Amino acid sequence: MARIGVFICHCGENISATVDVAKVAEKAGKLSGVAYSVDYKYMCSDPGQTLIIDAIKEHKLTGIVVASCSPRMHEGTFRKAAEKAGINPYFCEMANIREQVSWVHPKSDATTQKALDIVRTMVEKVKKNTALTPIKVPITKTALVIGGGIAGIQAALDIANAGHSVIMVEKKPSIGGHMSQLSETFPTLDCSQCILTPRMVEVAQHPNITLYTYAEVEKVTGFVGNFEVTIRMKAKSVDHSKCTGCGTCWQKCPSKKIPDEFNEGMGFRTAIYSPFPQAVPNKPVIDRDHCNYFQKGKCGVCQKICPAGAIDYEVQDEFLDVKVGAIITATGFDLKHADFFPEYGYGQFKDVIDGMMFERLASASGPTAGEIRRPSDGKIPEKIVFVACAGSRDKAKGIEYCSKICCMYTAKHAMLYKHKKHDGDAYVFYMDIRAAGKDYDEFVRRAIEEDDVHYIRGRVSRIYEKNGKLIVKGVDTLMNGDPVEIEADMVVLATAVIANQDAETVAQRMHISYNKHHFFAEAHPKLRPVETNTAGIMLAGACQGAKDIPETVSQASASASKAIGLFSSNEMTREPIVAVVNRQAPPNFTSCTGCMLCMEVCPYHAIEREEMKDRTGNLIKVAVKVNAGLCQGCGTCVAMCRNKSIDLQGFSNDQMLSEVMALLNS
Amino acid sequence: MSEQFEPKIVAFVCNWCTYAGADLAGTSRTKYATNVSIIRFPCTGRIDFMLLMKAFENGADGIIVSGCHPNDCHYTSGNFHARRRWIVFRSLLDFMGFDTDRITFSWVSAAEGAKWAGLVDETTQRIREKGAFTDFKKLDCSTFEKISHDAITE
Amino acid sequence: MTPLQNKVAELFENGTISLMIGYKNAINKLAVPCFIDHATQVEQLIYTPECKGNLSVYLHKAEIKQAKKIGILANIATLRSLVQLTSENQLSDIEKTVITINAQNEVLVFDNMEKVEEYVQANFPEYTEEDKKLLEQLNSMTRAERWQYWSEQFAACVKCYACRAVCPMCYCSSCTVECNQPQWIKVSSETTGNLEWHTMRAMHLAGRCINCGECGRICPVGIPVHLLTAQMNLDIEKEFGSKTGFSCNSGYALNTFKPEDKEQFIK
Repeated sequence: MARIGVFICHCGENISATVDVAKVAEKAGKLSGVAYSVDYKYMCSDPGQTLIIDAIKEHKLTGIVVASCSPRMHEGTFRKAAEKAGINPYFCEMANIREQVSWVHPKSDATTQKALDIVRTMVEKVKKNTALTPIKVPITKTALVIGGGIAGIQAALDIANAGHSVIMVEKKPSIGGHMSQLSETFPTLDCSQCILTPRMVEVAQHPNITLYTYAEVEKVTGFVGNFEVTIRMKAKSVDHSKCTGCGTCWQKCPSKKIPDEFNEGMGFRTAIYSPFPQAVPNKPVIDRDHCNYFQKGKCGVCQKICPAGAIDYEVQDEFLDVKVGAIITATGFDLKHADFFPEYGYGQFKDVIDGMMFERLASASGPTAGEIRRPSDGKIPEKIVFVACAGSRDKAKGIEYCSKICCMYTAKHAMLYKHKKHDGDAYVFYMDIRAAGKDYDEFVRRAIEEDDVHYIRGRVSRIYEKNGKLIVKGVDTLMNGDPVEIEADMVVLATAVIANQDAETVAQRMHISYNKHHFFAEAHPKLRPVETNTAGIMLAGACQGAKDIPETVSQASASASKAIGLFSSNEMTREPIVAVVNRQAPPNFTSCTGCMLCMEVCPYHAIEREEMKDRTGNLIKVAVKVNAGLCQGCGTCVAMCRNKSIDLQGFSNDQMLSEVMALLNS
Repeated sequence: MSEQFEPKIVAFVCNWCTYAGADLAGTSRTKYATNVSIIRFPCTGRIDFMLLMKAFENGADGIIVSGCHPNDCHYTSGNFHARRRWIVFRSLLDFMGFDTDRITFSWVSAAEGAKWAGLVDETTQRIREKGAFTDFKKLDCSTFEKISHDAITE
Repeated sequence: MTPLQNKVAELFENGTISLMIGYKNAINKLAVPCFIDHATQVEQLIYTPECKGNLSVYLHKAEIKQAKKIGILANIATLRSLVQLTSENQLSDIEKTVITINAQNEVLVFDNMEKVEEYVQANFPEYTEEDKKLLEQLNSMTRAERWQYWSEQFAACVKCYACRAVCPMCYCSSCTVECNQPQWIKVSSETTGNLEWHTMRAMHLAGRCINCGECGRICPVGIPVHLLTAQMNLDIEKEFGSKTGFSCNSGYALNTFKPEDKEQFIK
């Protein structure tokens, strides 16, 4: 028999000014099942809580209703009090008579009646409550970091330095990402590789980090603290345990005319290759699509000359299953490439290049050893035009967003050029200058004022070739929209930052959301910017949206701290507000008929197939079960289930129906 | 009848948007009609259509169903599923001749305290004009009598 | 022997099936279901316009499932229910051979559901003229008239649950009406409870009902309950573009959504 206690709070005068609290307490005391009812000035105060605790003990209450403010405010407070008094905290319900009664209605009988109605409703609910225990889930204290760019590197190092294991997966033969391709970095102009490569080496040598390059995540199942991940280890054709990285193979490889991705196609590499001299690991892989042995069946030079006998043409892709507790997605970005800008002649004129190509031209390790020479004839350009917002903020191109980094790197490019070619002319066409970072605007001002870069506010309409020059036609909107025409030797387009081509596939594999541009979605744009909607999966870097290096590193450290926080205890406690599939005695096992129609509605993939078997292993029944680790308690499956086989703890069918009945039947 | 009719209205709302929106109406001290009482659900996706039927059966004159705006669901997609359910449920009720104007469906976000207050007042006024919901009660008396009468005369 | 009987005898003899669910003659020229487990009994089998019952409903029965190799004679509605049941994971444990007779009176045998699906999609049925007329009549009424119509209809309901028993989609081992914690719907037959039962039934079948019309045909007091789900299916197809009993892989409009789903009534 239920013995419910009702505690009506005055909240100073916040409630008692419009609700006749004494009357509510008196009437509530007469409700069926209510053993004790009282009103008090401040229920949430220490004496108020003591009053509740004492009443529970003295009157042997089985459940309590605290009629006061919103449960969003003090549910936790009163549940703790209930627990202190020795009853299950989930036998405490709150009747919201402040935010939804006393504050919105004038003093009247109707207001008091409404307060009483709500109290009665919650009394009926609490009678149907059941004891719930917080769900404890063990945590595997290993993090998976997907992507070995600066975001992944930072996150991996932070987690590893906190003493936890990290598995890093990078799809390319080396870690380093886009940052390893950059020349100098804004706003300080320090050399990108100089600051990055020590970090790359640290990753490779860190005792807590296991690095898998040339590998991709194939499948992710499980839930926070308990993910199971399958990693595809692409066949490198080189046994890295034997290879010493001596480089003999790539010096002798006869396929030498393969466009070099690291140099944005402005140089060549061999079929067996390590992408750049500072690569980590600095051991080669064979690009099977371009290797004579794999394409034509003959060659085998590298195998013959390898002093370590490391070349293995027979090796196949291998799959590795790992268990991890948290996943940090740091898969990076891509840039819009050729054919997107026919009006700018990109892809048609060799000297119209994109920002990343310019980085390689300006880089000391690039194809021109850091001298800015144009791709067509190797001449040093006298005049360069930089076009910002090439594709970005352009609805017509389908990219409404700002790529965020272009204003800064365009200023940097113009500066680098001016530093190397003092008498050269640099023009920048821009829409707005967005230089909102620390020391950023000063940097752009320096380009304009000290390095004499000509900034023209306006868009470029067309670029064409005439007498060996690139004619750039645009307007200067600060000069009444006067047309501008510049004869340039080279044009650099700050093309839009876009999501990786396979971003959608990656997101679907991880069960995380993404926006229409395929950038991964954070759980909350302001308050949970590094977590995804899937608990335990965090985001770092430009896979979430365009970002510069400082921002990427900050986000990487933030997501690392989320993982470290998760790993700080051996198990995780969750609110037991989860769906459960009912259980019955065999041979029924459950009333669930296994139609599986609920599986699709679950946003968390928490509903799983369950097979009931007899002792000899024969299949008797197929039904579903809810993975309490994944379930977030929305209850959409509950309303979907035709014969009420699934119910939601804390908001059960019995509770909700009792509430409806109680509210309407005084 | 000198006294104006005061309808009983039940609101089925989600915890994260509309319930919070109603709390906001409270903290902003926005006044609205006392006729509506809230039942809190985790998500609109949790709201079973049978609960609406039960509310009418137990004397509700009107119902409000409200949750997060599309794309704002705390659980990503509960409100999208709910929306489909309401599209179908509403058309079923309409086909059965039920007065669907007695149910207000709405999206009220946690920031829309004023919208909540307006919704309550507007719904209360509409139901007040319609008068008490008697279709179910009539069902229990008059129709049955008529049918049994027909059966007897046949 | 008819071609159907020959075919079924052949299936028994070559061991393809061990139980055949079909129709046989009954009094008043009616066709009733029959279950035969040997080639010698095939002469009972008939296939006439009277063979309306949806035989797929028997596939849920434990005693039938034991047979393992089941042949089932299916009219187009039954074929659709097989497709829908497959999408709802209800037939995975049954080895079945589906036999139908097409418009040219040819006996067709399908040994897998892909072929059934293909046939159903190529021969997708429309509503009967009678149902179309009834729906049109109901839709042209005023709301109050419709309420009056259905109130009278439901008042006659005796809660015999024949509509449920005959429905191939009502396969839950325990139905919501039998749930008593909480009791959603009163067990006894009384008008509000009757309305709730039919509302719930229609909601549970909306987007799943394959329009065989059996529930309406079987109702002992003549309530055209099938019209509720028939109308729901029309609305669902119009709103969401999905058809029931059309694809073995998916097809339930209410467990999926599109962010751009349209409605005018949500404020």
